[in-house]
Parts: sequence; structure tokens; C-alpha cells
Amino acid sequence: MSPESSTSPRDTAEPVPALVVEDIAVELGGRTILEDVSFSAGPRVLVGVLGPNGAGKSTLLNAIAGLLPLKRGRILIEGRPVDGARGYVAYVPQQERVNWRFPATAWDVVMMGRARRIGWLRRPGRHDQDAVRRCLEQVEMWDKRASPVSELSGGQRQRVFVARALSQEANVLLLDEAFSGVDVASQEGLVAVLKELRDGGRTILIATHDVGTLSARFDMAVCLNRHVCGWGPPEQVTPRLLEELYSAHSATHHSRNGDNGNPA
Amino acid sequence: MEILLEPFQFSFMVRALIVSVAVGIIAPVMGAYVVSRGLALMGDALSHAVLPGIVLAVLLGLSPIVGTIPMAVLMAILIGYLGKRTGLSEDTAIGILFVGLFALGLAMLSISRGLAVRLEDILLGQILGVSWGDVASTVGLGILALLLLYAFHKELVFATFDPVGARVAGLPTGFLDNVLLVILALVIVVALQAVGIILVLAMLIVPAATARLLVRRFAPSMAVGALLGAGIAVAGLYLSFYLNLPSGPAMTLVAVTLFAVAIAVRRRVFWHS
Repeated sequence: MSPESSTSPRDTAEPVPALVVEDIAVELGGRTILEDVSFSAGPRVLVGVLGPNGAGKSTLLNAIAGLLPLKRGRILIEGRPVDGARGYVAYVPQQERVNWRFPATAWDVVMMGRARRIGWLRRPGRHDQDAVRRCLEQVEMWDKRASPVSELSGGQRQRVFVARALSQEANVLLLDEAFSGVDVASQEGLVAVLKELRDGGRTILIATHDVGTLSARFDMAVCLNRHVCGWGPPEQVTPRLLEELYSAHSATHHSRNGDNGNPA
Repeated sequence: MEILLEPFQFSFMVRALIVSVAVGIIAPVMGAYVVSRGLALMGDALSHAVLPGIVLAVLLGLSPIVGTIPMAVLMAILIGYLGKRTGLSEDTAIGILFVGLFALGLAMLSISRGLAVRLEDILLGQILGVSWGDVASTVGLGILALLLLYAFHKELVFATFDPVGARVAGLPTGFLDNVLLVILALVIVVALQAVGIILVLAMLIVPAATARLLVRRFAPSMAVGALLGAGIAVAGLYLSFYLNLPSGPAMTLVAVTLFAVAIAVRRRVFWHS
């Protein structure tokens, strides 16, 4: 696969790809979760990481975020190995991994993203408050700035977390199961926000198990099932993915099931 | 007016007032983290596990505080180590160290008879017996704890709300967890004198939980908790003086009553809105 074909068509010639995943393998508790995973993405790309539950989507995102040791291979963020790139990646976790008992408003959450930039033993300044305001406006959540995040809808929460990722000033955004718990109407709005950020030069990876209905929204798709079983424009790779994944799972598989969008 | 002022003709009551109000302010500020991180068991365990340190310090003729701080830090480190080493859940590791160290302290206390320290004082607090030296160390350590919480505020907040996101953003979350445990240990040591081992948890979580019911943002809930805590300390001290109760149970009962009131008030607010 030539480098050109592995980045978005709208991508102009960039010397350093935003994200390079090179032949990585990840083990968790002695079990191989990912093997022979390679792909790269330039700036201004919205990448879907597709696959069924247990395919290793979250593991891949965690590895890119620098949370997991690699058994083999390497990951580069804007040319730097992930260990040295702390803070260059922003992560929107699965909703279950956030402590909802913590009382915070949308404003508070977005300000958290500034923590590293502000630095130890310093308080947020005018500049940080302006940044938080801009980020909240960008995801159209400025009106909700004083609302406790625990009381926002699923889609609104995701927007707040995306705003936090923005306030961190990271160019690579990782979203784990960003659409679960978000109703269909709000999903459209969230995608529109993400596309706008993509056009602003960011690389966005979204892991989702909902292969059918969502894949058309991405520029590129990585189909994952322990290894990469497809990489390319979603309309080309998702049929292959569905075939590999779901026909293998059940002998009574009918190809029609895949077209309905929710094979699992 | 006389009823309010009468107790403070005695200088031991003045010292008791300073210490209780200091604890009433400091403990709920730390308690905001205990409540939102689910550290209640950890707080209870730390407060019991320092007993061997207290006994040892008294045996050596030192202030109990000298023995409690290293003991609490040791306990906090051991919990982290046991959890990682054995694969046991954290609350199990906490429970084992909790009872083990507390039992060790009780055994040490019963062997060293004739020691100028009574079990009851340690368990229930001895606020009427504090010296000016105790007042100074309580206030000093309390201010240190508050300064640390202030210094690490934005990092601790991020790591409490979203530990994974904070790590990805480049914050050293493991280090921050340890910082928080050390501050917790400091606060427990400060509170021990006022309310005793058994009831440290009362000042740590009850006012903070009450504030949490009333306020929906973290830093303001700390401030409200501190206000409530100070009020609870003063009210408890009066109760203790006039009803001849130990200070720990008196303050705890006031705190729990306020908590119940807060639940009732909140319910009403919900119904009417």
C-alpha cells in the first residue's frame, strides 16, 4: 500500500503523518489482543476503527494513547514515539470509565484539558478561560457551560469531552465508543462537529462496534479483528469486514444480515 | 449569651475550640475527595492503622503526632504494594492492613501497662486535654494539608474525574494518587485528636457528603463542607460541655443530624421545582 493511498484524499502532501502505527502487537494478561496492526493517517482525516466487541478496538486506542506497553512495533504521533508524545493525544474515554460522582460543570471539564498547559502550581489565566470558551463554542455547548455534566444527555457529554480534547491543543483525538448512549439525531450533530474539527487539521479516530450504520461517516476505516482485516474508504472495506467477521461467527449467516447495519 | 460564653472561661475549652474548628474546616475539604473517589474505607483504615505509631511515640515520650504521620504514610504505601503484588482487590488489601495494624496497636497498648495514655482517649478523642503544643501542631499540619490540596488542585480534580483522560493528557496519575493519600494521612492525624480513631471518618465524610447534596460543583462543595464542619465542631463542643459527652460522639451526632436535614431539604427543593 503506497503512502498516498493510506491517507485521506483531501490530504495535501504532509512530510510527517499525524499518526503512524507500525506492525504493533499488544498482549494483555498473556493473551494476544492485537497482532500485525499497521496503518497511518495524515491530518484532516476522520478514521473509524470498526470491529465487533472484543476485536481490540479499545486496546488499539489505549496503545495509541500510550497507556499500554507494545510487545512489538511502534507508534508515532506527529513523528514522536508515543512515550515522548504525552499530551499530543487527547482521549475521550468510554462513558463507564469516567467518575460521574464527581461534581463538575461542562466548563470545569473543559478547563481540565488545560491542566498540562497551565503547568504545575499555577492557576488558570485569562488565556485559559478564553480557550475554554472557544472550545465550548466550537462544539456548540457554550449555553450549557454551567450545567453539571452528569445531567447532560449522552450526545452533549460527548461534545463536552470533545471540547476538552480541543482545549488540550492535541492534534490527534481518540474517541472510544463515542456513539454509544447517543441517540441517532444527536449522533448526526456530533459527526458534524467532528468533521469541522477534521477540516481544521486534526486527525480523529473513533472506535465503534456499530459497523453498518456509522461507517459511511468516516473518511477512512480500519477494520479490526485482532489484526487489520481492512483499511481504506469505508464503503470498500466494511463489506469485507462484515464478511470476515460475521460469517466466521455463525454457519447460518446470511449476507443480508450485514446490510441491516446491526449484525451483532 | 452567658450559655455561649461560659465554657470559654476555661483555657482548656479555648484550646479545644481552636482544635475542633481547625479539624472542622480541614477534614471536609479533604473529604470532598474521599466522597467523590470512594475512599471512605481507606480513610477508616488509615485512622485505625496509625495506632501502633501512636503507642510507640508515647512510649518514647514523644507527641502522638510524631508516630502517626509515618505510620499513615507506610500504610498508604503498603496498600498500593499489596494491591499490585497479590492481585487482590484494593478494599481487601485495605481491610487486611486495617485490622492487622489496629490489632498490633491494641496489643502494644495492653502490654505497655502504666503508659500515660488511655485507650478510651485514643478511640474517642481527648479534645479537652490538648496542650498549646497540640494546638500548634494541629493548626500547622492542617494548614500544610490545605496548601497541598490547593497546590495540586487542578491536577487532582482531573485525575479524580477522569483518570484515563488525565493520564493521556500527560498527568502523572499514579504520583497524584500518592499525593492524595499522603494528604489524607495528614488530615487524619490532625482529626484524630478531636474525634478519636473511631470517629475520624465522621468528620471526613459526613460534612463533605452533606455539602455535596447542597452544591453541584467541586470547589464550592469544599467551601460549604468547611463551613458546615466548623459549625459542627462548635455545636458538638457545646453539647460535649453541657451534656458531659465525649467530643467525638457529640460532633458526629451533630454532623449526621445535619446530613439528614440536608436530605429532607433537598427532597423538598426537588418536589417544588
